[in-house]
Amino acid sequence: MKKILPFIFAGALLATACEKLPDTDKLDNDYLVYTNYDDDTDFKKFSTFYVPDSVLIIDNSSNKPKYLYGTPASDIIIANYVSGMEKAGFVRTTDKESADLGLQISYIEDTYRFRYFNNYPWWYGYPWYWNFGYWGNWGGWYWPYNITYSYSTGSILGELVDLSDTPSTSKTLRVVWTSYITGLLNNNGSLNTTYVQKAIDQAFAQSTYLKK
Amino acid sequence: MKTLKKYTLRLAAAAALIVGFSLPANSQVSLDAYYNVDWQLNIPSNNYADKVSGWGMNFDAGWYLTPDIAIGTFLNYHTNSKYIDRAVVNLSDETAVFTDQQRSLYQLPFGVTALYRIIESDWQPYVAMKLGAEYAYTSSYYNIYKSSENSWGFYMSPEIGVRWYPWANGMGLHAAAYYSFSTNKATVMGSELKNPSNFGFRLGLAF
Repeated sequence: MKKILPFIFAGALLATACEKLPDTDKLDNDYLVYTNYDDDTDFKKFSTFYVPDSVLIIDNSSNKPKYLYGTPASDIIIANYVSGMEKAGFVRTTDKESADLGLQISYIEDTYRFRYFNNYPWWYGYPWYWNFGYWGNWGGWYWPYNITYSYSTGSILGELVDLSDTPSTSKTLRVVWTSYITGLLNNNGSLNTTYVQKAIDQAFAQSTYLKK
Repeated sequence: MKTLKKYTLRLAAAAALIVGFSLPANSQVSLDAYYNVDWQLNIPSNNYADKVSGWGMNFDAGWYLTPDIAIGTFLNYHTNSKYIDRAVVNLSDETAVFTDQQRSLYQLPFGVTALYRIIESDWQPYVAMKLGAEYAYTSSYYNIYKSSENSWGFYMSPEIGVRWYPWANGMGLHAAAYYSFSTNKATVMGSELKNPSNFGFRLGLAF
């Protein structure tokens, strides 16, 4: 018996000594909302914002950027971001050159191209990502905070860029607020517009610093 | 994995029973040593994952230096969890996330045991002190993501229990109650685990 006991112990130990996974069925499987902001930015100094009429689609397309434009989904996404900004006290303008803030919105349809970049968010490597040149004669992008969260399909990315400074190729364009919303797909792969509305509202609700 | 684990557990238990009941008549396997394999129920006292659970086991082996005093070695492990309802979690001064989460704390202490046997008979009540190191895996599951952190700490655990050898075949039963404390620290999803402590009891086989 004494010779066998170590083997009984070792067998029982090897068979069972691992973490019991918690019951993830309890999770509600609703959306998730991340927000980041630049804590050196005083949002009270901004008055107006400009938002493009299209939502950039991030997918595995190889030759040109694709956009959602004039669809029910893009209308809901843009309208809810605009509503959130207006409730926060900012005024929408159609003049991009005079706007204090720019709001660029992307929809992640596919994560094929994503990989990790040191000191840059993962969408930085997408070849058809928003061009800083769209917002003026800037020299590049700058995210003043770390973005460490992972990516997944069916997500919405909303970013506020600081346009209050005079553009110059020697300056980088500062991204002062990021909202990343995921878990927005129905079981059939379509976008759950109820979640979209609630999640965008939540992004503004948890960003109490984002006030005029 | 769950199914494999379930059947392996059953196989190990069946093997232990077969070996135990096929032994020649003795009050225990060795009068100079003790061994036990236990299931344990753990009641954690920490602010990270404090739901009571029976997801754990304990293993002991010791040798008597005198009829009353033994030194031994131990290893046990346990998983406790806690569901956190949907809320805003501040990950840093700049970052916030709105989600629900299922937290999990896996503790695996091991080390040495000093044991005093109060009575030497078929009933063997004892008191013991366990000292060693604890590995802890602190994790949080949310949406499709998981955040986690490993930590190490000093571990101590006083224990009272009894080994009972009612059969003349070398196998007996073991019951014990314990308190444990460790110095592990970890921060996952903005919540801190600090110096987790536990109460609990163990039921198992003694040899």
